[in-house]
Amino acid sequence: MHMDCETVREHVDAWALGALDATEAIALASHIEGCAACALLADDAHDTAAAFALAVPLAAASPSLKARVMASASLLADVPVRRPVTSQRWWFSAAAAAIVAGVGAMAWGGYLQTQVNGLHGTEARAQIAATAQSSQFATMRTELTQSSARSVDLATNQDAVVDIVSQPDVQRLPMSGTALAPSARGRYIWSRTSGLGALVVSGLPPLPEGSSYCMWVVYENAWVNGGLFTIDSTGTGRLIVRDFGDGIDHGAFRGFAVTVEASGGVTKRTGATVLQGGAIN
Amino acid sequence: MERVDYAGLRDDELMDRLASRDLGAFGALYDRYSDLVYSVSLRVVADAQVAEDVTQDVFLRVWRRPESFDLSRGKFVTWLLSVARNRSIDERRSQGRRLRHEVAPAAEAEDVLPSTDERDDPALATVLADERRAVRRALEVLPAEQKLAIQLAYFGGLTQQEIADQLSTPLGTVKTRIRLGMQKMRVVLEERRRGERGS
Repeated sequence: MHMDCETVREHVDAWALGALDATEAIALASHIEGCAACALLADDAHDTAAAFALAVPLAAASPSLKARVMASASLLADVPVRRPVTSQRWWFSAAAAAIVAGVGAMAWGGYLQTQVNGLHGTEARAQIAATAQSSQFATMRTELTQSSARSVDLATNQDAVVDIVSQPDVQRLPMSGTALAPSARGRYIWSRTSGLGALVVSGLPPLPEGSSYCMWVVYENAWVNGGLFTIDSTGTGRLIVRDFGDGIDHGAFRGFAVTVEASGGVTKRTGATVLQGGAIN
Repeated sequence: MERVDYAGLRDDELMDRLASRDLGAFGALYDRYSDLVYSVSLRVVADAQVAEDVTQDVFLRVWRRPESFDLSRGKFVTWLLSVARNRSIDERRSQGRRLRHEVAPAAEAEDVLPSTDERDDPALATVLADERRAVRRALEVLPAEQKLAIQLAYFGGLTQQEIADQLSTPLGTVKTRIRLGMQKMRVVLEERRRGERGS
């Protein structure tokens, strides 16, 4: 769908209120990104729409909420602040996020539920829930009060997962255990455009001393290292993969795999495959 | 040890301090806007516990990603309330059917945004009381059907088509009501801004 300036002028107020359907909203937002005059109209419309929020009758949150918020913030104090990204207007990002949120929430929610159902133990459920989207934040809040170190990790992972599911080309691939780990299973979600991926596995056996699990992106002519990860006592592990791929043409994409490698890391696969997904072999 | 009068700092100054992980600045922003964020969320989700969860999420997002706010794009409170509104709408949608029944009464309740405030908030009063009063006065000039259509969109998260369906009103009529209502609000708010500049 394409929108010209006249159509944008006609729809911009409804857009600022969030009242356009997804197709119209995306078309309008796309136009605004390249049209300074319409972008000003959008700014104005957003200011006007935001005024409605100012008019709500005031109610007070419970006094204990501040303590919870400040405690969580304190635990997250070590999370590095990202560099500002100012190439897009904030409301463009917000609108885009709002548009994809419904789709992303459904996709990730379904995926998450599958994971949660398949995993064992409160710990695993809580950690995965904490990496999900906003509807899962209540679980994250509980977790945040328990371990500052783990909270930092969860928050970072959460950002990455949200980034992934916000991409239009997000894909999911189920992974199953090989004969070496028949009870293992996993899911990998990734986006080629963002270069981000997230691996969640369960049921993996304990690792020998000095070794780690290694995730691989499998191409026709090469296995590209996606990173090392460990598992907890329930056999559950997670890995956020950034900068997906190494920029080299290795032939057709085949899938993903997990092997056991030395903890120091390897550039070429040496260990046995315990988990895989896609068209490998 | 530097002693900072956080309450005396502007929003953008407090946000700058968030980048250096200043919890005092974060606490000041919370004190200043938590009730407003909570109120917006409560208006959308109609559940006190959910609204508190959303409020916490919104402020932790501000804390974790202060770079999300760009001063050159507008006022902090505008951005914050948009985040709160969008996050609340997401929550409302995620709860789906459970909350859907609450939309209908809202559609029938014409005056969803009363023209008088229900309570005073000292922290908020110092920065937004005048603006809130002006907005509420602006709302008073809107015909009820225009205000209702806008409220169903902004607080109900409904599209124009959904509003038309819910009100059993032609889509074109809903579009016109929203457009005219927003134009009137814009005019009233602009007159107020001009008045501020002139005084």
